[in-house]
Amino acid sequence: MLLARLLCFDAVGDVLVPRLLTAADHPWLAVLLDEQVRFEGRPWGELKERMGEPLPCPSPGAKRAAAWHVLQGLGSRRPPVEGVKPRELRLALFLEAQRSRGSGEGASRGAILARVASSHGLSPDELERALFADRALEQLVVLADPWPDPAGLALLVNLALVQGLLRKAISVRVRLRGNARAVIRQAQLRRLLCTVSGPADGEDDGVLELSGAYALFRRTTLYGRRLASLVPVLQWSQRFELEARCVMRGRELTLKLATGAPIFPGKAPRRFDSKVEERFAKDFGKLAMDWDLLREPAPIQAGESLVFPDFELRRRDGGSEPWLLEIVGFWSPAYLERKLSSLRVARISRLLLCIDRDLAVAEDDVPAELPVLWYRKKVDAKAVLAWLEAQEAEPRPEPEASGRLVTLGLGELFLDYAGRRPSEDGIHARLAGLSVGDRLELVMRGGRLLLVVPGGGEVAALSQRAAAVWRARLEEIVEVRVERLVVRSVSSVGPGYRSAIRCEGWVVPVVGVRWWLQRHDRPTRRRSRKPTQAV
Amino acid sequence: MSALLLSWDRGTVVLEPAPGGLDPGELPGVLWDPRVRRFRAPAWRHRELLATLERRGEAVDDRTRLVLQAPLPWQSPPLRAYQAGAVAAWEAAGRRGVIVLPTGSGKTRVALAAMAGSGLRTLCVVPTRVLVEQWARVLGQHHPGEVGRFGDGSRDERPLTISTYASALIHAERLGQRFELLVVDEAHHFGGGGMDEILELSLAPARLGLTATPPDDTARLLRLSDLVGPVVYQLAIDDLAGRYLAPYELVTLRLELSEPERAIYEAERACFERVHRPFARHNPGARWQEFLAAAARSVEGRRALEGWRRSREVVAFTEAKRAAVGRLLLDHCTSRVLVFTPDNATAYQVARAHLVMPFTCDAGRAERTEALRRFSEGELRVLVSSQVLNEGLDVPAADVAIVIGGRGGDREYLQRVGRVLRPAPGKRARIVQLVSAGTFEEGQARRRGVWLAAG
Repeated sequence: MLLARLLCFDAVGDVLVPRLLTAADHPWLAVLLDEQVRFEGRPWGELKERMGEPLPCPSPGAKRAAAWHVLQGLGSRRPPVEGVKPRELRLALFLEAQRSRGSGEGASRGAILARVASSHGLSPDELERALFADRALEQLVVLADPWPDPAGLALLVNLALVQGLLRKAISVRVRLRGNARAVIRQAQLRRLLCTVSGPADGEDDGVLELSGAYALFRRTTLYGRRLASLVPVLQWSQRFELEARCVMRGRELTLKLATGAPIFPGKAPRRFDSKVEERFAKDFGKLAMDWDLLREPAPIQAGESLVFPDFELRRRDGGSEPWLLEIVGFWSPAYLERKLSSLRVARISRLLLCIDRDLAVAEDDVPAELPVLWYRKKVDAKAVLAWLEAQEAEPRPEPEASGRLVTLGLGELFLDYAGRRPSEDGIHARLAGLSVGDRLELVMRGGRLLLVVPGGGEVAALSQRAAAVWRARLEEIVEVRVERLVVRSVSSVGPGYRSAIRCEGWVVPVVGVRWWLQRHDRPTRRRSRKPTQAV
Repeated sequence: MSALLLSWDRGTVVLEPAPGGLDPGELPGVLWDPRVRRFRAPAWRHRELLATLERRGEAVDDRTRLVLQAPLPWQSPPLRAYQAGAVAAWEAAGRRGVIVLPTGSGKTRVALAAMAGSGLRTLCVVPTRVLVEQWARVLGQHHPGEVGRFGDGSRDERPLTISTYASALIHAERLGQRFELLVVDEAHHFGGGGMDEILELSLAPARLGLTATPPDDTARLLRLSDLVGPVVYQLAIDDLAGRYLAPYELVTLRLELSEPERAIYEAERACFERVHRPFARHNPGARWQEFLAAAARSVEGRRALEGWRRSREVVAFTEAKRAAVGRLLLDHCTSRVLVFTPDNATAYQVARAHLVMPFTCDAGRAERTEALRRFSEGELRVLVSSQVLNEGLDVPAADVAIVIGGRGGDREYLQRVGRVLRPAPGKRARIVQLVSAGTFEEGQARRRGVWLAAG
């Protein structure tokens, strides 16, 4: 990534616009690359000096400096004289020179050099060249293999520029679809705080807010390098929109990046978390021609966090709900408890756990209601397929006997209901006090169908369409519980409705509603594949 | 009564109030963190937080600090009267404060006494990896246990640990809860925001700053006071020269530029002055940074900056300076000489031309250690350096400093001069500064002469 002094950008209002290299820069990039080739085998110091001068064609100075910085990272070095130990030569030479000075012998520089050179089997000239042969600038230029073309170099410079700008970031917000798991994994690895707002629609995996713990207290760029490390991972998402708050020369600016930005992709991320997963995917794919295996299914909200199942297995004919498969290849009591707790909160019902026998997990450690397939070394794809087929063949339980559970998602709620109240309004305090699992009630008030805390004030309202459906079912409702809490802000409201908003941010509770099915039919629209919405 | 729970989270303190207990939002430095729905406070305010809670009689369950092995009991080296005074002043200030003593007066000893006296787990942060080695060596002579090191490839934590600033910053979120005393060497680097997070992400209730040159910027000094403590003890070179510091002689050699050098210098300087003069006239008292920001906005301004840079390059190592260095090395062939250059390239030029050992950041740990050992034993009598010898490094044998040029301003100059002021029986230090006549270096040299006496 580029150093701060090499960052080229414009500030347009509060927006930070990186001066990315484009096709218009390719001619001078080609000349720059040619210059590097000319210096192959010559000292880096000479190349560095040359790069301080203008190119024989017009080239923007700041961009050229950035490109030269990137090229330095690509090339490598070799010593000018092979088979010598510069450190030993230096010591011998400087000690000899000191001895000569101290004894008053007054030997000339050349005589001292000749004496030391001959004692090391070198000529004075070779000794001079070898003296600092371990110093970067005295080593010889070796070109990178493969050598980039101008277009490739432009992309590399752009990536370095964007990462350099992100080093000045205080926080980053990413809306993305696909590869969310890798981004979150990278954020956790770099000890960043990552909060996830659930998908506002079916299009995205969610919105990630990334920052460091201490960023709460002041504008610190302490986390910039870690935030910048997310960029190469983003390249592998199907779609992303990134907004970073950066501090440039004491001013806070917003950097925006999105899919399609001309940034060279980093090394492709590992497709699988482990060899076991990779092997299973391969075996299952070959074996189960009637099934599709989705490597990274959409994440599932589990309270305030997301669950990323390893695989989704779905019948090709689409006749049934998909199954999720989770391979547990790492075990500690705390880890397993955390994992099972997330799965419970997420209410995933169609789940198969595959647990490594060698982990010494006692069968009692796994809740009895969870189906488990034990494996050693590799997950047996045949056994998984047989188990799936057996489950599919079994008659489905009668859900009506125990009541139906559905989720009232964001599509069924009046999203701006709390947002239209000022921040002093009691609704915000009630919402702040809500937790996942809390019980709520659905009541009619003033022509609206409201979600209220037991015996008290409202926290949300249903949309008119959802209200029309649920008004008739009120008596059949057994319970309503909070499934997750979604944070919204003015920026998530359509431009036409923003004028009605009276606070900066508010919470919308997504709830699960359990009701007795008596006379109403199943919803006619196709059920979501998410097990949380299954009966 | 249920207690307020304090726990550690990546350089901060997370507060979880008991039901019906006090509102943590009222406490100093505490903010509501909507990202995790918890109250959070910066680690450096932990001591203040506990004091406030104690004053209010609140029950606290403090789980921020790890219970870790304490240092073995140890004796600090004997102190001179002023060093003992400095430690006493720091103790009296509640073990928080900055001690300002001239280079060569034994600040490390003061720190050792504070560490041994307090018996606390200590993290010393120092600017360079060379200084990590030096501190570890000195500490190892007095402390019976191993000394930990962070930086230059090491990541070894012990009850007494030395770290470079860079490593301490990288590992601040982890190290912050593991030490009770922070010793901040060359503390003038802090207070400006750049690396303050090392201090901000630490719980250490006791803090000791050491410097020869405290920040002259009030805002910076105030911030340093928040993070480390106020200046609790201060002495200047002339307070100690003669008795505790070697007496010194300052010699300025005015050297003429050659004709071609003069022509380039005048032309480049004129470019610079054309923009700088009107700026200075219209913005009296403006800082250099403000001029840089203003100049960067126009073509003429950028050319002026280029002229300023080139004019400095011309005078950095002129023909006359080259010749003078040769003469001086011969004149002082029995002394231990440190040659200070403006940059590494010049250091290597001097090394090649006069066959003297360069001491730069390019050298590895083993080579640097060997060079210092041979210098102190007299086998090598000249070291040439641009940056590495500037701060903190103890080269007690050195008695002559040749200053060819520098980039770091007056503070750098004072630090460099301090390298030759370590006292020794019969020692009289000599500082020779090479100044190009008729250039900006003359004014600089005059100002530094005055400053040296005061500083």
